[in-house]
Amino acid sequence: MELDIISYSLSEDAKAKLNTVIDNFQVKSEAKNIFIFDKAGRVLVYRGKNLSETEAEFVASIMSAVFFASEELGNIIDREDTLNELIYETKKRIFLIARLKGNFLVGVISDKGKNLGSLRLFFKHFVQDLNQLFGSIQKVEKYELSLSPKQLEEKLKEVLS
Amino acid sequence: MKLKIVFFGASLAGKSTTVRQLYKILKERNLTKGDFVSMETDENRTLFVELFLTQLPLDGEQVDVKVLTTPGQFRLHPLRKAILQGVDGLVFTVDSQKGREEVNFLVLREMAYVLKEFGYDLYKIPVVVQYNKRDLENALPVEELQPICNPWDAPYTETVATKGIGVLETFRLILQQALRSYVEEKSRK
Repeated sequence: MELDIISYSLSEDAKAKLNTVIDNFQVKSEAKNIFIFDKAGRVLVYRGKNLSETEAEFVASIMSAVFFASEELGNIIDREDTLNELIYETKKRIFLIARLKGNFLVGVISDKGKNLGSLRLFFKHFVQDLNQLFGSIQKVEKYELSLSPKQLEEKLKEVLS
Repeated sequence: MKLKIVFFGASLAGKSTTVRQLYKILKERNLTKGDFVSMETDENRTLFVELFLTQLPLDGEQVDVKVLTTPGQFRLHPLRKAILQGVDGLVFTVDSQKGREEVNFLVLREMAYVLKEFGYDLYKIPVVVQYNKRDLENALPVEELQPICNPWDAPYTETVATKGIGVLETFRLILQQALRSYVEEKSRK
């Protein structure tokens, strides 16, 4: 496995399709927050109003850790078991996390008071739509740094000495 | 660009202290984003994870670095594994005290197992070994710890995390290690 020090980049067409899929789900489910992130918790897409970009990064990191910890839980009982979807509730909210194609995850936070059955159904369709989309999306590695190893060392010393 | 750096090591080796000191130092320099997030037990032991975000200006780009610790207690192995998903660089925090050699080695062995399971090449993943508690009288010489704790012959630091000594250097070294492989890969393409 290569290191995944990457920034994800989507083509304009893929972005438009992704936005449409998210919009459809958001209208139907009235979900407050939607996150698409990788297994390391790097946010690819965040949709919601009440969290800052930094808070969204924290939420995605913890969602990723919770999802994989839950998978470990299942694996202790049965090594062959796999986890694709995780749903849990707090007093006020419902959390849904699912695995997507290509090492991505989707997380949704919804206020309680919605019909859980409908929310789960919408979420199931949402995951199917996202998987269809992610199956065809090209992940582009954006090489953003143009430093030599020596320059990099000097720059890090400058910033962190 | 976003990086995920994870501190791992034996229970009570000083991972949390290191990461808290690092957060404090970086916050004073306005290099942090948001608060320090901690999930710990009633005894102030790490239960799940501690994390913070830092943003560094490099080459006109902002590099976001997510710094996490794993819980050190052996029984929390499944949680350590969950946190290591997608890691870009590892800091192995070693308790330098005499009598802790075996536990340091066991942690290292467990980490090797997890990384292998994830498909990482153990000898290619960026690592820095942090020899902590260097101020204690019973700290073993680094030359004695190196064969046990540093099979990579990776760069190492000597730290006193409680006083913040060597903490920033450890962070700089792991970033250097992680980004160097990226820069070298880029120059090959």
